[in-house]
Amino acid sequence: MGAAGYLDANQVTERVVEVVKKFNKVDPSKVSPTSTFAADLGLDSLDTVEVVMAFEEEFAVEIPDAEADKISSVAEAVAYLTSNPDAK
Amino acid sequence: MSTADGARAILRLYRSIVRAHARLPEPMRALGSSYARDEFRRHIDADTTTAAQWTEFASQWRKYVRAIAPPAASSSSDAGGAHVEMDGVYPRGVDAGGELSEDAIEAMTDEQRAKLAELRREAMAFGAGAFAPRGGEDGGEGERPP
Repeated sequence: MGAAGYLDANQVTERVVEVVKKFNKVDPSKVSPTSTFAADLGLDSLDTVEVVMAFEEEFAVEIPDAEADKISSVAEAVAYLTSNPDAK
Repeated sequence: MSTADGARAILRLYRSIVRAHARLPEPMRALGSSYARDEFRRHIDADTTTAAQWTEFASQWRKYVRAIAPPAASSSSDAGGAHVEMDGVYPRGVDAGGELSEDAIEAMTDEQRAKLAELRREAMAFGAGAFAPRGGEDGGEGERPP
């Protein structure tokens, strides 16, 4: 994918928030850039796996297990996706 | 293996299943995902699930991932973590994405056969809804996904 470069953090945040809002167990009004999946949105560990998979689809990347294990909030997802030059 | 490592291994296995399902066409994708989600949640929620039961649970689901994943992708979709080889204990003969062989069904326990029958009923009920005839279509061979 060459020098695709890094995505803009604000746009990534917006897209991540949108993906989380669409997740069927989430109350969309509760989702913000500072939301944590478990404490703020009531998602369990299996839900979190599915949300992280939804980020993979949205940004066309495959997130390695070691990284995916660490993503438990909107901010952590944004941090990973803005640091991955393959994210689209 | 610590509890945290065990939980991580189970979540990684679940991720590999969701990832494998993402390659399937609907309605298999939705059916497979909801079945896997319910099974994993039941096991996680049950405080009484023993280490031995987790080992068997994980082993069976790894076989499932291997069965539905395309051969080229099977290495990357492996769940990682503690790998448990149970050959000889569980029925052999599951082809990639294929039918269960007579031998495999023969080797199943009654509980496994009951589970298979239950899964088949759910699949048929789900399929009946998903492929209900519309607008005079007969819902026959032509409607089946590849």
